[in-house]
Amino acid sequence: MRKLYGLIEGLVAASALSASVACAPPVVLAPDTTKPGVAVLAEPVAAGGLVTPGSWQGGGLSVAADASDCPHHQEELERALDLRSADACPIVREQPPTEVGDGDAELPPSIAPHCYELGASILVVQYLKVKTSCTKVVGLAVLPRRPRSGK
Amino acid sequence: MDTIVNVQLEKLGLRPRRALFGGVPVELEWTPDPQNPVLDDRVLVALPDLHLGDGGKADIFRGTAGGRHRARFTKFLRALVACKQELARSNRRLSVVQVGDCYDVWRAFPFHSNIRGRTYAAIQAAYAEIIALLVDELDTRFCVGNHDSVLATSPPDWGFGGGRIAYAQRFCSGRVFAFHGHQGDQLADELAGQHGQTWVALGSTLAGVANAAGMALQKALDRHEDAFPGDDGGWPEGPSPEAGSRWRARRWSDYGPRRGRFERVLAAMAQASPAVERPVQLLLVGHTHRPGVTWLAREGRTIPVVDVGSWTYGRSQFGVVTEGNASLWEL
Repeated sequence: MRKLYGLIEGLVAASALSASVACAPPVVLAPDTTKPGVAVLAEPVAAGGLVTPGSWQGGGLSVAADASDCPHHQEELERALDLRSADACPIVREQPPTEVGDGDAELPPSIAPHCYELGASILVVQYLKVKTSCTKVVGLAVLPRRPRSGK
Repeated sequence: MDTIVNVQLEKLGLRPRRALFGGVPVELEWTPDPQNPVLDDRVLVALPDLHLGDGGKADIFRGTAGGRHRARFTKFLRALVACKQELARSNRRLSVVQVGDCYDVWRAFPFHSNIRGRTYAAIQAAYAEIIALLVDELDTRFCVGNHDSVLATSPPDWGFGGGRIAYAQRFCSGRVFAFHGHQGDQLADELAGQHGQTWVALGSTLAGVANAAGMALQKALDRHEDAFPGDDGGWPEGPSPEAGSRWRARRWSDYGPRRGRFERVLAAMAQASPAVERPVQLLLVGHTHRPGVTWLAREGRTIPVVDVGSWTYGRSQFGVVTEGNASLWEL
């Protein structure tokens, strides 16, 4: 996880740098190939500055669920970076509703996106829920904070 | 009840008894027909409205029983986990459906101050063990209710993707169909008139609302339901299906206009998703907190509807469905 924290810090710095430049092009983040199952997603470009997880660029997360593993990446990450789960971007947690579920079918593990305020940036982390109490980072994006509209 | 379920409950000191209304068990029976099965060899447990809140005074799951009610439900779920393991040893399956209002988002947290995500943390803190048993151990499938309609679009961490949370859940190749049941409310007509399209899309009228008028309607609905006389009881006695029906109940309930509204839900579903509607043979609902068995007519078919009651205000009702029998129990 230490390598991941360093990576995030570096990305935040890069993102802050780009945000300070007016009309700077989006920062495109390279995949972290050193860590299986962790992909650094390219910065999405959307009118709202944030997009729903399904439309993130760089998709195709290579998630390898390990039922015997119960990591606690969420707690570790939040503690290490002093992150506060942000209520600021609920759109990240929206998903299209399912009309009818199939109780006969096996379900994939849940991948829950969380949104944090991190300095001048927004950090979005996707956690694979191995059990309801276990979390494994499977994706993240660092986004420049969207300026308030003034309304 | 399936013997394995009974044995496991008793092992943990739980003594299930029949849920009665008017001295008569709330039970539906039918003669199994291998050519036309309703279930398969599985045991389907239907959990009713739970209304899990933040553990505070507005939390009607807790009610006046406080932690004792939570402990009893936890013990019950542990017994179901043991049942599931026991059934798996004989290549049988236990499925669990929760018929909606698992979370009570807006009663404990009024909508105007509800910030999605944060409210779930309070429920998770109060009921972490229960949620873990439901999701991790029992693989429960959840219907969206009117008190937790926001789960459909902004789920808690455990509900992303795959349809664990849906407006309705189907089992046994769609022959058993569950949804919350608020679609049968009189007040739903009002909203259906405003948002007919939503109604067609599964009759999930109230579950789909996201506007101030809709929220006000939900609150009115809840007050209406809570104020209903005889909330601890059930429904008046109603007519039986026509002679020759395969379905038997010692006491059929009269759900009044709800039956007609459920028929409209299925008719709308037949238009929107005929492959989903066609196989339905048995409906499971909740919402009213009043257990009962009724039926509806759908293009020559008689479809029984079992209302599985509630696990609120100290009640502890649940349904057990096996081939040939759907019955309500309480602890």
